[in-house]
Amino acid sequence: MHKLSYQPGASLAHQLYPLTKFAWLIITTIMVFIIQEGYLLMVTAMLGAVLLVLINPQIWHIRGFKLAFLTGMALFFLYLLFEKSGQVLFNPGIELLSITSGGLAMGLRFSGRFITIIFTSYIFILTTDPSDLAYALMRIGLPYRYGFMLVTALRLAPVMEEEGQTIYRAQLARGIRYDQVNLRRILLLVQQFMTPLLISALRRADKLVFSMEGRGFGASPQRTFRKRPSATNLDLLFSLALTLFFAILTFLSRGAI
Amino acid sequence: MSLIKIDDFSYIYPGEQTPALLDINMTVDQGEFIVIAGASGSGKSTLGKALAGFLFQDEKPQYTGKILVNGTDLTQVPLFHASRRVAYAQQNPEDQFCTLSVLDEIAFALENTCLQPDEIEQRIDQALAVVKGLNLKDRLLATLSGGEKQKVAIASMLALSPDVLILDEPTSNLDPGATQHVFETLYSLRKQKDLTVIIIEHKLSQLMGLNPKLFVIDKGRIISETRLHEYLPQSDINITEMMLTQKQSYWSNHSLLDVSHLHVNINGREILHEINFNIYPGEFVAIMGPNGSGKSTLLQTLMGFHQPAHGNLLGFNNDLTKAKTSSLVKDIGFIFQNPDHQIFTQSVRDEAILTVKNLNLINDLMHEKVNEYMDEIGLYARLDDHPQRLSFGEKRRLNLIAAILHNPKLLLIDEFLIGQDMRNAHKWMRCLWEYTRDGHTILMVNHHAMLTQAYCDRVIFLDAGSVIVDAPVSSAFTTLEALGYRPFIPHKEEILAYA
Repeated sequence: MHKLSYQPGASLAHQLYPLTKFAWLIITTIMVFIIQEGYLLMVTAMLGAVLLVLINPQIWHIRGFKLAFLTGMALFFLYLLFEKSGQVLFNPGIELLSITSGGLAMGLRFSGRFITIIFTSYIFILTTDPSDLAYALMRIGLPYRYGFMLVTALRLAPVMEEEGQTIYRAQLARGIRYDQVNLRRILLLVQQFMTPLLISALRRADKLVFSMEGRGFGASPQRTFRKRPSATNLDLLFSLALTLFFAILTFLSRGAI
Repeated sequence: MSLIKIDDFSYIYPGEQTPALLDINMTVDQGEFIVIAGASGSGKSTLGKALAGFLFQDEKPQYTGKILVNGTDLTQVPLFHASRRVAYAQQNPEDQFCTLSVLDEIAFALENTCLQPDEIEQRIDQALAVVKGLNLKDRLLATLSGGEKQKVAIASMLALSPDVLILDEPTSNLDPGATQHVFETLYSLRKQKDLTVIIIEHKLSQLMGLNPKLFVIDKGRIISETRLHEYLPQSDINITEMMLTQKQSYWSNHSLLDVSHLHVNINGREILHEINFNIYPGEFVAIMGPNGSGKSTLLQTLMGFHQPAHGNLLGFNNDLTKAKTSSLVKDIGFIFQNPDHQIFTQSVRDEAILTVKNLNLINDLMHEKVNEYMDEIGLYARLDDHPQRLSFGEKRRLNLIAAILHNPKLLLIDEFLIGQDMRNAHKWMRCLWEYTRDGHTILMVNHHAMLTQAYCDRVIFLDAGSVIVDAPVSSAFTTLEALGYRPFIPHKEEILAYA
């Protein structure tokens, strides 16, 4: 099982500017609520699936993906089973198993929306270095103090994860057992685990403040940035293609209404 | 004219009564290579922080005197002004990184001072070239080794072109090979950039070859100012006597632990490869080797934290590859590197008896034993204090008592001596050595060759996950030297060089 986090690579999505991807993540999320036709949403989801497989053929083994995908599928079947409006398309003789046009449309619509949002989010997370996004946001005007809140949090997250693991092991080595639990014991375990983690986090924060202020952080209201890749023609082409794609979907969706 | 001039400087930490620094007078010329040494708690780090202007940012700092660097009184300027003159690198580079990549880290200070992108680029290249780290340019910080991280930390300071570079124990987490490399890099900086370098350090042996100017601090005062070669510390520890002390051998045919054909993978990467050794009761074994050679993983595997990919681990009538950590606690005590990661309770007494309590071994005898031990290590008066209020050294003592109170046969220790001065290090090695005299066994990750030679029975030396040498101390270091691991063997001058 792999972590759901940025994975370096050279796919099309990797080469796009972080803000282009961020913008399209938001636009796609809005578009799937504008488009009502289930089969069109399924086309969008398929496109997302193709991109995902191109980025990482092992996508099935990324943490959380299986659960999210199966939830999307379950949504489809739940609507099929319990939404009985519209024409009957298939009737095996048992009321519950009959399929109606309303159930099919709703199932496709809601699971299509859900899966598309999941897929596009996965594409974004797997291909965008979060610190690149933070720097890109700072360059378009996000105050750098807030931008660096994100950067330092990203920096410390894996460190804290590792420390949590060490603390857990140190507890096992002292005979603390996690297998015999009741409510009082859970509270004690939480306290015994969180105290060292919190103390360690506070110490780290203290040292980080020293390190950042000692290197001039916060001394000036403005700040410059080193040369970093910016948007290219690829971003323009990608944006044009997606604009065209969503324009066609909107047209088809309207046509259907 | 001198670059740094400290006049009658004294400083008291907020809420304290005794001064941390007292009547410090110090003059340093441009381009000098300085070492500040002293025992733990002597005030050497405080002096470093004072020199970097870090102590004067509180609302009402309590100090007298002046600290002049290139004519600027650092007690009077904001921290970011001070940082243009003096760069201060903290003990562990991990603690000072605030970004994720080498480029961003070195650019950080330059961006804060609003330099233009072209100049930032140029300065990054220059700083990396000085520390011979241009090959690290496109790397992520998380993928660097300890020595490489230290190089990036130094480069990120150099990028600002300070007059003075202060490093607080820059090699405390490094193996002797990487330590030597860092010291040489720093020494060459002085020549290349006419930079004044101040190192706060108690590992003096590896600085012998560079013969820096030495300031020794004790109880907040400078007690000695000399060249390292001329410095002979006053000591009450007779090391020669230590080395001659023989221990009754417990070696027998019945081994405590059998490790054979052990392979351990973590995240798909092989960390330990074909490890074979037996451990006998009463042995004091030093596990040595470069950073990243698999020493900690080896100890953790013995404690059941990693499942071996192949191989056998037999001990305490148990197949340890299948044993759960909880079933091993009775026989094995484990001390981790960082004291803060292994203190879980609200009082010193509770902390000491935690393992005994979890093993249901608590009785009146144990309570008496706690009192006795605590008295011995000078913590009896603090039994009801919160353990987080203890000093670093006191926490370390508590860690030790907490690990041995239930009398485990085997004690696994991951780097006990980090941050301890030599006097304390000797005391602890002596204490552990005595623990092995009555048949207890210790496996300890240790970088300190001289202490290993003086107190341990045997060395297991790992490199890149394989055992390179497994031999009694008497022959291990000769073999290591022949194999080219020179920084890892004890040096003659090491016996004299501690402060």
